Amino acid sequence: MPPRSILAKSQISASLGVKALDDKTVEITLEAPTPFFLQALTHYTAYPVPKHLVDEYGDAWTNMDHIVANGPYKITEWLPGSYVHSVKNDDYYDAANVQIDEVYYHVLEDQAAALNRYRAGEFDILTDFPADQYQWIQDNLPGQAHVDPFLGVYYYVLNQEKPPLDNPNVREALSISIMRDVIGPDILGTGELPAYGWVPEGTANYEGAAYMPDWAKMPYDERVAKAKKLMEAEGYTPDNPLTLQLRYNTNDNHQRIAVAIAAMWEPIGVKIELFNAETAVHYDALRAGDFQIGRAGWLLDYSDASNTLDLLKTGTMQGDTMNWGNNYGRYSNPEFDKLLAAASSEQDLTKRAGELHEAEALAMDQFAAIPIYWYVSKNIVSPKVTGFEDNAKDVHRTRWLTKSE
Amino acid sequence: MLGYALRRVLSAIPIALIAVTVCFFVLRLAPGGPFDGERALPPTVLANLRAHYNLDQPLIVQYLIYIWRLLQGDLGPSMVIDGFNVSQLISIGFPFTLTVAMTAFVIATVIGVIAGMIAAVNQNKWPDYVLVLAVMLGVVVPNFLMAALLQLWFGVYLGWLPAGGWVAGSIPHLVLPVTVLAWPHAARISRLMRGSMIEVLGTNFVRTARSKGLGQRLVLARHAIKPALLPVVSYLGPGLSYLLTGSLAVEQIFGLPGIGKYFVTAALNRDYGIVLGTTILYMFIILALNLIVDLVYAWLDPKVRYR
Repeated sequence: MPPRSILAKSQISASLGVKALDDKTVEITLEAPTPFFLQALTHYTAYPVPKHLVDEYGDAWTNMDHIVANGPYKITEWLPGSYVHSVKNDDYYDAANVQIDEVYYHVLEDQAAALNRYRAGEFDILTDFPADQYQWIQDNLPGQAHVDPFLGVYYYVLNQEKPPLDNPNVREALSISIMRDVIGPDILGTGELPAYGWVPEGTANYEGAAYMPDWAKMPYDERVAKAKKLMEAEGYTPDNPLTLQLRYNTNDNHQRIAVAIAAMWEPIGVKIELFNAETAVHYDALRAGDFQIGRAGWLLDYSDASNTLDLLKTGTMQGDTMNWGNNYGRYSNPEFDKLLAAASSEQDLTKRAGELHEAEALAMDQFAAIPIYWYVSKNIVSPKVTGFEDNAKDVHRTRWLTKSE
Repeated sequence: MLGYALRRVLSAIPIALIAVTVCFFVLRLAPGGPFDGERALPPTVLANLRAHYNLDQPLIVQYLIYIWRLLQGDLGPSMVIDGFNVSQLISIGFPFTLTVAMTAFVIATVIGVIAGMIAAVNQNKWPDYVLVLAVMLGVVVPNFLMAALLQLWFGVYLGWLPAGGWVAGSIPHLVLPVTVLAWPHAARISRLMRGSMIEVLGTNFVRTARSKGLGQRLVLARHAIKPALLPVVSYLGPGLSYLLTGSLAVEQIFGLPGIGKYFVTAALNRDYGIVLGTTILYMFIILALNLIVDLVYAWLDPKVRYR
């Protein structure tokens, strides 16, 4: 669905193509066939909003005193930054089959403290854990750690508006000289799989094998040799290195990966200056194009290949400024844009997948960005909890869980 | 003394105004804004948000709006925590912070003063050495490590106490966080108390008291404690403000819903309203505590006069 311009209130319902047929049925008319539309509706931006409450309370409709729920649970208490307490919603259509009566969602900054409290029996599920404790958890809490492929890519963006990273040869040298296999198992410790393409394996509407460039199959020594040659051709050697700044948002793991990759780049004649800043500053700089190499990550909003490929689409003009959205590196290729546009209205799913594959290969062969690893979801689940099924979206609705005392 | 107190309160007003002004503008100098997250917002949405929070106005206008609202007691909205304004967040978080900090303060002060006295009276004997060791532990081990260790021992291995969380009115939930906060505070007080007590015990008026035949207990109670407390009292003001503001690690590790984390995460998220609101709160606490300490001084030391 291409974004629309803001319209006057009276125009909205007619032009959006959304109509309430009766109290419980909504009809949505699309401009073009959109195969991932049902997937997109699972995103929280598509959740219904109670109009009568918004009309009555305005911004305050989300207050605990006013809020209503249409799901299996309703929220009763919210201490921002601490916890959310919800109880079973008796008005839910399937309430008879909801097993767990109340849920506390705690917000914790300190993962080690969270693990301690889990071990003390205060929590049943942790949605993250310190990666350096993974081995310990496997040894001491067998079967409780769930580490599974997750639809998301961890990558470096390269600022292609300015030299030297507008040069595809330099980008290629940088990408092929990263030894991705060591990052998941050795640097992070949780076995994240190396990423050579842009669309995670298991993404919906994406028949065919994940993109695997030829260089990925080359032995690492040969890749380094090739990268060296590419850099030499541009006039850079370890004695006369190219100095680049690598920005990341402050975080232990980002730092460890950045240090490791900087070391991998040293032999090919690239000297890295590390620069870290807190998240708001980091992304502000990426959006402003004020960087050379920047760390980024993308977790898919819904399972469809277009959701990651859109990250490499040329920006759109808005007024007299170019809005690049999340395409921080400002990669721009009309051929790529054309393929995405064609795919967005293609009805034949196989043909559509083919167009998306073609777009992915095009961008990756031009080293539009450097994918590094595919994210994994990391959960710890108490043996008391059943019904926790691992899935690539890492969605685990309490509705399907049961807990034994 | 009443006149002095009044003058102090009045002189706090320009200090407060300067602090708010500096904080307001320094915060805006920092790069990034409250809506810079991992994902770019559509420009129209961003423009609407900025207009809603007056961020599209010139900075000086924003400042005047803020001061105008502040004078009416309105600390403004939170820009990141949707649906809450700053006053609400402070009124949710501050009681927790205050409970933990005041409990730690009272316990630490009582223990610190008594321990310091015992150590001074038994200078260079075993109670003194035990105390020095306990003090060293409290001062040397940083509170995030102490918190994690106590959580592991008492919450996980022994299972005697909750490893974290907060249940209104539950004393067991308070024990570990209060211990972690109180320990270094008690340690510093006992060191101050020990030092000044040793000094007081060597003075002429104490020797005179002893020479006229007063027993050890009477000498301590009647003559030595009050003057020995002076350095302790001057530490109590900063000490309490340290307990109130320095509880972040404790709040995070034990998962307490205090305001320490609002203060820090708001600064990182550029949630201007919360940063300013908590800064103003802390500023008033510190100004008030300094005033109280100065007044207590007069009661303890007849040589102090207020003009």
